[in-house]
Amino acid sequence: MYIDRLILQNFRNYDNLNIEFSPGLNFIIGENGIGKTNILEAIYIASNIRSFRNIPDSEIIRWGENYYYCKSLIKENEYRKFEVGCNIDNGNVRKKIKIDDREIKKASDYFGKLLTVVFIPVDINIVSGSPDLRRRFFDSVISKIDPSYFEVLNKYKKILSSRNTILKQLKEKRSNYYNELDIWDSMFADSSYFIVKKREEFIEEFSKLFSLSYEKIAGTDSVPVIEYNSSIKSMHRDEILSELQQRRDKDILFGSTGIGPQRDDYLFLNNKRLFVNYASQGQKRIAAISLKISECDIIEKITEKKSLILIDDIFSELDKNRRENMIGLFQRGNQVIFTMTNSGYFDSMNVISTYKRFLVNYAGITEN
Amino acid sequence: MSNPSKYLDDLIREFSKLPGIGTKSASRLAFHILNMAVEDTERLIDSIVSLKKNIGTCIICGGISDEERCSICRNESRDSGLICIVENARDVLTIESTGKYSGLYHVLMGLISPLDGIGPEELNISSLIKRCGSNDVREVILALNSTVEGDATTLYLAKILSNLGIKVTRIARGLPVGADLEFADCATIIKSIEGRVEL
Ligand SMILES: Nc1ncnc2c1ncn2[C@@H]1O[C@H](COP(=O)(O)OP(=O)(O)OP(=O)(O)O)[C@@H](O)[C@H]1O
Ligand SMILES: [Mg+2]
Ligand SMILES: [Zn+2]
Repeated sequence: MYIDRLILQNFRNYDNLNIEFSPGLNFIIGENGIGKTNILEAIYIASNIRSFRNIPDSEIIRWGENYYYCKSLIKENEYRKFEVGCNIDNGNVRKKIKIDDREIKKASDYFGKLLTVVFIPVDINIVSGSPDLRRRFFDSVISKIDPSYFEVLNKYKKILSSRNTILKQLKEKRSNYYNELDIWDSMFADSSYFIVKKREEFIEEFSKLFSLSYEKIAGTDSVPVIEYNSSIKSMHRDEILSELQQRRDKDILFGSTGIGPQRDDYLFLNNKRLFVNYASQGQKRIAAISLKISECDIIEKITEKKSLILIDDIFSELDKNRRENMIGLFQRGNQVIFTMTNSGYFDSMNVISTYKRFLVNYAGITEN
Repeated sequence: MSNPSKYLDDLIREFSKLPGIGTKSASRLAFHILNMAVEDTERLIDSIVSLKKNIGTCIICGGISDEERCSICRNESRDSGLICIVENARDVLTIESTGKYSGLYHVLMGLISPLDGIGPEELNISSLIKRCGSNDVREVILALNSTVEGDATTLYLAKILSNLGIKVTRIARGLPVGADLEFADCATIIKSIEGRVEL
């Protein structure tokens, strides 16, 4: 699938924007702070409802205005028109999402209909940041290729906080909640067994793709693998249940659940050595990029759909060779939208696909 | 915008507070009432007032009732050995509308939800246990939605009731996951009751 046209009203610095993209490669070039990332953000919102920058919707509305509107027209896809509108009225933010003129009310109804994979500078935190960033990344990828995972994951989150609430009540010795705890234990065992099994299967496949694309960018560099680490890895449902019941007193003492998917991590390893502990900034960047390339690969393999690729200015940390290896990797039939500050990067690239080049300045966007 | 009558304004405002009624339908209703015969408007007002005055909760099942015990609990031709457990009184109407269920009901008036501060004590459960212990109940059907709260309540009741030696079943999952009983059609409801599974 690819985005044919993007139409924005009062979105960040754009009062009105209407651009037509190439189905191949697109390069958006302009100086710092001119509004390049804002364009990727708009496309990302059409696909994920939320921005990749962790900010409230009200921030996205053009200063001095009270609404924004964003429309993406998609081709070679079952769904064609994605609209997100957001207005603010007396401090109340209201957001409306439509796919092909039908209003969408539930997250599970829009997820996976417009497939985008985004490469942004902060991706490096998936590699070197806290485990919850890795869990969030992998959860979002598995959800895209398996709607049942998304559904169970949401239930599991509610089950976990319900169980923790009961644990805290028991800690405060409030009445006979033990009967209730049994119920939550059993539901926790069911859902976490499902999740951990899916994660295990997924990582086995994903890690191979990851190592492959790392190797393609880095060449001679020795290649890390991803290992899934879980407190209940390979346990059967009943084993999880008895483990929960054995450590009940501890869980009550801490008022929280000590085992389960919420404690999982994904480790980058090279001959048992932790990648983050020795890797350079450039190597971490390559790992982050490889994660996203493997995301495209696995989505394609399982859904047989080509994601739209959004790449926000991730070239600066890489040397010339690796930059060129990367450009090669992106000419794979997907539509790609790059942003960059320096058209020099563009001139040195070996672009074989059809492409469009956009220059952004204070007068607006021009194609050239 | 200002209407020529404050009385009309008031009625439109009251109507538009009702579910599913916007300002346009509210004003259509208000104009309709304006043109109604006085006796008809009085009958309408009466029916609203008597509804509020007279409807209460059945002391047996917790459903809505005009008397101490509701018409379903009083009906001796119904199968008193079979109790269908539902979340709220509206679910009773939904299942009754199929005309195919001849047992009795028990309305929980909610579901277990620790995150909303609702535990078993907050629900209409103690009278259910009394009901099941004292007479000839042979089977209890759990007809709760398959949300996290519905599942938790189902498991909780299954455990307590099977300890009393009663057969406990839950409706078949013909309903799409998370779908409310309210939105299912008659055929689906009948099928999911007929295909109920033992817990
Ligand atoms: N709500 C808003 N209303 C108006 N303008 C905004 C709003 N939010 C951000 N901007 C403008 O957008 C600019 C940032 O745009 P963007 O992040 O797309 O820049 P960029 O071209 O990607 O820059 P860089 O090369 O530094 O990454 C800011 O300078 C700011 O002036
Ligand atoms: Mg930027
Ligand atoms: Zn009754």
